[in-house]
Amino acid sequence: MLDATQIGSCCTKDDMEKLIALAHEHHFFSVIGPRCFVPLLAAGVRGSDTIAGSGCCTDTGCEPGYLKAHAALDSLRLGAGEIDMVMNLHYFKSGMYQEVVEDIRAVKEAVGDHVLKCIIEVPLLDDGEIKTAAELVVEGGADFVKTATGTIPQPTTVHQVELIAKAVRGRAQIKAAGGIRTLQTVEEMIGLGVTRFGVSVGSALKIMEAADAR
Amino acid sequence: MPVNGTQFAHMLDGTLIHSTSTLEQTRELLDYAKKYHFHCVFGPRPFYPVIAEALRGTDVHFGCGCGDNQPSYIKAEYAKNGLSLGCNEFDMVINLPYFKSGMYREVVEDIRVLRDTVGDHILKCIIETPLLSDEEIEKAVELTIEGGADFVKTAVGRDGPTTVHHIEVVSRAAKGRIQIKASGGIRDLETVDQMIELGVTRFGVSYQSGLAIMQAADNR
Repeated sequence: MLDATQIGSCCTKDDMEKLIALAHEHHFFSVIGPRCFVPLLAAGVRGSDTIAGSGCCTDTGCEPGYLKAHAALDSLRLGAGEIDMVMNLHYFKSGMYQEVVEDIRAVKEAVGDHVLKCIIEVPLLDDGEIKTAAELVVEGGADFVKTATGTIPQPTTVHQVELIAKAVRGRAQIKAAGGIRTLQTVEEMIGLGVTRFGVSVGSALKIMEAADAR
Repeated sequence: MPVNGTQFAHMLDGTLIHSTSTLEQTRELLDYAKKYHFHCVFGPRPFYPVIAEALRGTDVHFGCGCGDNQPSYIKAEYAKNGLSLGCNEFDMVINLPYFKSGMYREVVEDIRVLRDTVGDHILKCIIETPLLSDEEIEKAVELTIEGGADFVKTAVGRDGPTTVHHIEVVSRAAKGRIQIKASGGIRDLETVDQMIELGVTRFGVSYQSGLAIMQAADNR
């Protein structure tokens, strides 16, 4: 259920090699690194049961939909199997919901049958906005509502996941990401319907260890 | 002679790039930029068409962000999109994962791709000083010059502030071969004065902080 991520600005080629080795050992669902290393990650996990994931936009999701779509297609060409995007937060906060949906749709049309996860950045939203955002993601056709990029200091909470689960009612899967650090949180979120977690690889190993030790 | 408010405005890239910035806030930024003659504005990307419209025929430059760790040709697409909308200053981030991996040739090539894409327009390259040691800052400045950027720019503002010490290191390494844009957590006139003294010719500051600094400069 794990998208093992290592996406800090300072992570290196060596970090990617380590991530690949850990993927072979622990069979993560996917590995996600900086976009310049998509080819490296894809080559490293080829033939295993792990795939390489990739982002397709900036952390604010601010670029035009066609640029996101173009970058998504490029990542698929470079060997990524799934795409994560960020909803256009500027449009969302300006109440331009039609534009938000069209932006997601542009990327979904580009990636076709490949899984598309759309981040709504819950730490920047209130409860009502979370419900609206989840609805727009479903409308845009993404496969997953993803909670956060992890670049905002506040974590994704169980309460926020609950709001999303109520809003999507099974019409999209849920990926919980951003500051998820304990087994207890993971279990509560699975109970609410989360099917994928985005966790930095270091924290993920600790959660796996805790799950094995009980 | 210390700067006054008007002089500082002419060195200011007034920014509004928080994820949640709205159309209404963008219009406010544009009003201030035109009123005080900021050098340039960096607003939210979805509102570039609005910015283009508002700045047409003014002396305020129109800035475009060009990405960070994407493949260079994707960064170039961001720049081309900006060019098509009338942007005339381009800010990019060096590829830090490459830099931290010691892949210096790739770092330079990445900058060169953007240099070729934007032609004679101003290209500024962010090296993200809060994440670098002094030695790394020196190296990054060298690579930025080699890549052909017009400015070395210090930080995006998310990983901590740019300090006067960072500017000292950048300035010593640059030796006048490239201009310096200081950005990231710069909030007061004293810092601005010290940085100008060290050779900074442009500041990237949120427009609200920029207005406060202008006021302080006029009131001394």
